[in-house]
Amino acid sequence: MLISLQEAASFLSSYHPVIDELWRRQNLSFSEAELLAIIRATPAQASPGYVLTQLKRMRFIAEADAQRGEWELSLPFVRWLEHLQMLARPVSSAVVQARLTILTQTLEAFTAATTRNDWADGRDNLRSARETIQQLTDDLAQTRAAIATTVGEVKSEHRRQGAVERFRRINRLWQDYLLPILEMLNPTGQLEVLCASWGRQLTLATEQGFLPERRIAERIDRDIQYLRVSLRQSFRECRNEMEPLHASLRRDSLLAEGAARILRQLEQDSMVSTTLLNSVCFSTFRFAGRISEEAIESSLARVREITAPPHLIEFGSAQVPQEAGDVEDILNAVHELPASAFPINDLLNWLARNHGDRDFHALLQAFSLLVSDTRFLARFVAPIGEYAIAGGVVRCGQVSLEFRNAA
Amino acid sequence: MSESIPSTPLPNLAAIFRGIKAGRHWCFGDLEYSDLNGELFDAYRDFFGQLNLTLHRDPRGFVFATDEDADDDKGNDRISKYVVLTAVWVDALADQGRDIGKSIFTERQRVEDLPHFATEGHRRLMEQVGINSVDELQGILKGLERQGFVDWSSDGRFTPRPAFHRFLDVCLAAKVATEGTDVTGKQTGEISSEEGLS
Repeated sequence: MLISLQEAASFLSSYHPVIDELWRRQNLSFSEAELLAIIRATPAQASPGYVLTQLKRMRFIAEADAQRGEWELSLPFVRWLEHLQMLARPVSSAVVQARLTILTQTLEAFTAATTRNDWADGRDNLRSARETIQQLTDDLAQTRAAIATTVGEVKSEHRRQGAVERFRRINRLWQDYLLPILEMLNPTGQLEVLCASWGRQLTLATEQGFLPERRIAERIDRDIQYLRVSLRQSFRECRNEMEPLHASLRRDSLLAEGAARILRQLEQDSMVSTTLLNSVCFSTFRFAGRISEEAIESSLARVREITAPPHLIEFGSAQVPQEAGDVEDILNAVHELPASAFPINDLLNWLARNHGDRDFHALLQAFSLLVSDTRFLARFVAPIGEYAIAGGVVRCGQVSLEFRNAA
Repeated sequence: MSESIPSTPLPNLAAIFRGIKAGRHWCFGDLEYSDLNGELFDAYRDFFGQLNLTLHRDPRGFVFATDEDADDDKGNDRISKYVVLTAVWVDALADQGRDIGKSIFTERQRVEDLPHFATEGHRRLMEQVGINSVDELQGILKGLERQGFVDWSSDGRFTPRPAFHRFLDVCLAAKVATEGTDVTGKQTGEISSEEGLS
């Protein structure tokens, strides 16, 4: 039983509030009782039973679940409503794949028709190929529009949906629609191979005089070129739409999931993983030995050829025992050295060799007094090295010492 | 013995050295940042390398040093506070469906407006690391100014600086750590929803 356009339009005109309500709840299915309730709630003139019967008869609604007796808007009607609302849906890779299969089969049929010199069959094959190519081009435009719409929705839904959920949605689009387009762009991919095969077969058919007019082949060639251009344009536009949002949502989603992990661990174990904490290490310049910061700054100043004399190394009384005797002994020993013993090329090494049995702090104090003693000229030179002295380690540039008046 | 000191004069060396000792992070806009981030970066890195300090230049606009000799466990309490306050911040923004990066790096924020104590769960977590009130949170954020992570203006508002990314990186690291193992190192075998991402 066919429904005339006039009859369908007249019904829709009279009962559009019912359709509006069902469209508003398009993701749901309804029992007959629920449908009757919906119809009753609208200002319909006819009886609810009549309206329900007409909805079924005109196939505006279809059975969603026969066993449970539930109904929903029929898919072709939903598609038409989406078309009216300009609500494009992206075309899935399965649909695109099916079209490529049709194009392959059509090519095979056209090749066979060429061999048989069956122009009537060949003409049908060419018509079918043009339609399929046109459908592919339309699919791409539809996908492009759908992605733009979804990206807009995801951007505007940030108050209602968390970063993770929004990322899942955009990621699904990325994987289901953008990556298949990318695959189609592959010069060695199925589409390109198919287009090239069509090109070769059309050339052959023209050369063999199978095609009555050259422009028939040229028309299909133009369609294929248009498809290629549309493909590149679709990919570029879809990527431009999605990439910034994808990147930002991906990062936000990772951040949110990572933060949740940290907090969950804190709740469970009352601490944050040491490995994670160590990933935020800070510089806290310390020495393996006990030399003061002032000493190393002096050393650095010398290395950088800053002429100001180094600061005196001051040791805190709590840390440094008063080994005055040792310090004095070392200083005296240096003062008593014959002139020929100077310069001492590596003072710390010399102290380690000759006074290594003394207290570590005394050695360092003597060292600091000697390098700042105006009677001597101390030179700090690169490179920085480690000196094991009297049970401690000092990291410092090499220091040479000579009598100032001898210099 | 390590390699020799470079002969190129290095500007602001003393100030930078003092900063390194204090764990300073130099961000875009700092005087030292332009020195460190310029053509002398390699010379600075070599110089401090001889003191076992590693200079890092982050493309997000900051420079900092790490100490190879640093005792890993030193300062963990302090860093725990930084990490947890960041994780709570991210978690609260995600709950609100806010753009996380953009919200955190908003300029001139008021501590009172931060979401750290808005829910019981977050309040409890903050207390677990010893941050019990908005005032204490403010104290922690003030402390971060010394190391270059935030700027405070005279009207009592603060702005996280690019170096604050280091704490967000810990959240990312926690997520990465869970792809196969959880943050405690146990095998989880969990499949991430992001698998197959380009």
